[in-house]
Amino acid sequence: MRAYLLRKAVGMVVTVLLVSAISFFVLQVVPGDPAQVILGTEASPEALEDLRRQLGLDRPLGPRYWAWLKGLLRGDLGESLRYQRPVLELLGERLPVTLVLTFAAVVLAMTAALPVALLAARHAGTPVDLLVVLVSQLGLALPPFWIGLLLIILFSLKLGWLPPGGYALPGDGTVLSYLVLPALALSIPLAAHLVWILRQSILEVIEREFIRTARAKGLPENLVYYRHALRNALIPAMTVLGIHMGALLGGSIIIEQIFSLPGLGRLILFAVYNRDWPLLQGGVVFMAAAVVLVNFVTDLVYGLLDPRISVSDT
Amino acid sequence: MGRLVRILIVSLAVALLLSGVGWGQGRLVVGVPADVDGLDPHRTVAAATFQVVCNIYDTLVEVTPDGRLVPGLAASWEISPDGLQYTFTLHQGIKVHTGRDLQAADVAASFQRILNPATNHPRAADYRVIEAIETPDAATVIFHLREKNPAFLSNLAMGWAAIVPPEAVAEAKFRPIGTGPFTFLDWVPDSHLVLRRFPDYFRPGEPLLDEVVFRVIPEPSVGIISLKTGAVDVLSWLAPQDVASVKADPRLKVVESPMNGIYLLALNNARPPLDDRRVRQAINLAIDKQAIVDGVHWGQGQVIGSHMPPVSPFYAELTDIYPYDPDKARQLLAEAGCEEGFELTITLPQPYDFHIRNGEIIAQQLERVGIRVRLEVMEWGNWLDRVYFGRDYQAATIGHTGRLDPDPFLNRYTSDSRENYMNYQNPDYDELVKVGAATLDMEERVRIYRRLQEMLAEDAVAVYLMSPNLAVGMRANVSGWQIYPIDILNLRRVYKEE
Repeated sequence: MRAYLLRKAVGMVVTVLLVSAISFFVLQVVPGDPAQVILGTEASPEALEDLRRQLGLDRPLGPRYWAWLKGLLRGDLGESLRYQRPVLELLGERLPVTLVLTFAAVVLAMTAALPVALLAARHAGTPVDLLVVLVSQLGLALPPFWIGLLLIILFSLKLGWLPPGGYALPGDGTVLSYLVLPALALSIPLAAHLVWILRQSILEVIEREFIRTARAKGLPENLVYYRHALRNALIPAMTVLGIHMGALLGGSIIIEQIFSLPGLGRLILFAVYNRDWPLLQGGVVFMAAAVVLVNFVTDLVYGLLDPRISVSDT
Repeated sequence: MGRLVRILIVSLAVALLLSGVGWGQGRLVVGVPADVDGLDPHRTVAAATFQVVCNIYDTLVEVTPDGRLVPGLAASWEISPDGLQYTFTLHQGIKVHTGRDLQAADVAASFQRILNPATNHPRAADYRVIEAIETPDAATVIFHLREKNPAFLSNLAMGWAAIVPPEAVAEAKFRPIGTGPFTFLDWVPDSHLVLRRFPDYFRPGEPLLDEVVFRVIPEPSVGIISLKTGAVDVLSWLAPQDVASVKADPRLKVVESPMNGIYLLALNNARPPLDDRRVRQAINLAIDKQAIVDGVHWGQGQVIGSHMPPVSPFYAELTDIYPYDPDKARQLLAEAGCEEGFELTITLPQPYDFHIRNGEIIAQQLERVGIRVRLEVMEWGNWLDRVYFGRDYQAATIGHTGRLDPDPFLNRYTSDSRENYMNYQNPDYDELVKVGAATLDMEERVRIYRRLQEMLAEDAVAVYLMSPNLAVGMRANVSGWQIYPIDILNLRRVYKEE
């Protein structure tokens, strides 16, 4: 177990370093000059040259990457060119919004998907099943920005229950009310995907021999489904969840844009438009780390769900 | 089961509602499409920043909605007969947000900061004409200029000439300290910015609001919903397609004004076949500009004929030179040896939707005279690199906004300008720009700048499409909103009727 964890940890570090190196060098090839963005179109060539020197953009790539890497080991991701503040601080400020949003979306999706998938699987082939399949297909097909807009139109414009986006202002009461709609918008495609996968795998598991054994032993049908079938069917669902989580932690740019939320996604978009290389680089590495970490946790959860998948040294 | 989930969601929503969702009372919430990129007026080119910081800082001179220069921090000024010395007398009782009196030395220090290369002021070049600044007493500032500069006074009214007191310098990007009607309270990037009334503002009785919140709403359709639900009191920019629906809503109103800016189709005059004036003229004749104003901008704009918006007193009416006439366009193309038409690539800047759509309509219109158009959408930073500075393009859609002086609009077409991305070469034009920039007499200047516009139109340097309108949407109870020829959201005299 310890050797496995060690091997995994090394693999994770190597992956993140590789991503950082690739993104660093690829970003340098992207056209566009941060000094130009900062000084605008009227700047003289001399002023641009000066600013590039101040920003350290005139130094060769190798040493720049090396300096960045040394900083990374100290937990220092450098300073944003545009905000002139430490990148780590900026990421840290945006993280809570993204974290809360991600977890709320996952919890909502799981809460909705589990019972619905079970219902469909138990009534496979009936109109109920058909309806579930159709609705989940729809949920998968609808683009998130459209779902987001529909939710805003319904809950803010028509019903007036929730604010149409943004983040709580001082004295505005609860922050939560601002997160309900975006979390819902994020969770719908995820829930649809989960229902789809769960229903399918429950139907597969239910045909297996151990289920037949359980039934033959006279186990009540509910227990068969909840204890045996569902637990096994959760494994592919975990994979789907892992993939979505990784992406969500990097910030859902579209949802943040629609709901005017100050999350990681918009910070990274800002970095792209402003050619803020240190901020973008920091954001990319952070996202890579989040994906790798979530995948690792998913692996561990597999083991919990199914003792046959052991995280052993073999 | 689905119903259960729905009930859960609904009851959650109701619980949140009961727990007190505040919609904000006693303050004005302004929805803006983009966030500030910092709060230091000397270190940015972002329009979003100037829109906001004009409420925190003051300028020596101010501009009225109809473009007149009026006293700001300076109660009065005097210009020497040779045009080389400007003497400003400061208002009495101007307080800095820290509570102390503003001195003439602070004004001098602010301009020294602008001119200091270490500041990296993007428009420092506009003020290089200052040779020396003198402060004989606490209320008098004298600028000595190196040469006559008719744009000097209006340059002092621009947001980037704001007077930044020395104590603000250290943290100007995050904690601005000015003399303006509002003091800075809080900024959460990409979310909101809060300003509070400055009780010691030097103009008695102003500002009228206690608190102002700028809320960043990047998605226009959500902006409209926010306005309709009252989540914001004002939406600083209405998309043209939304103007009619806001006007139709009795709870809302629209304040609108022509903008001090233009949209155009830039042509690379050095690139064949566009180096032939007849080809450029043909392109001008083949484009129905009104169709663009109507089709892309829902009629919210005015057709133009040269590089100047109609709001400018220097504007020359030249829309008749190239009426929509595809037959004549085909004929000119034939004369230029392009009977078979030619391939034209138009480079469109992302994420500016309206420039992209301008290009799409132009493409269809040009196809009708046999010009085969390829549209190329390019991300803004890349576009600047390739088109604006690289001059590696055939045609491109873009907009230009102006200063109060006509020179910055028109000097880009001089042969050696770094911003002459259309590669226009005309020694007569170069000469006349120089004359214009050194002429103080207003009537003479108007004549010169109108002649320059005629030259651009005659040579069909570009296709000058239109000058857009700016429309601001607001709740019916908001009063006192005004639109200025420079890009500021001045909230000094805005108030809410309860």
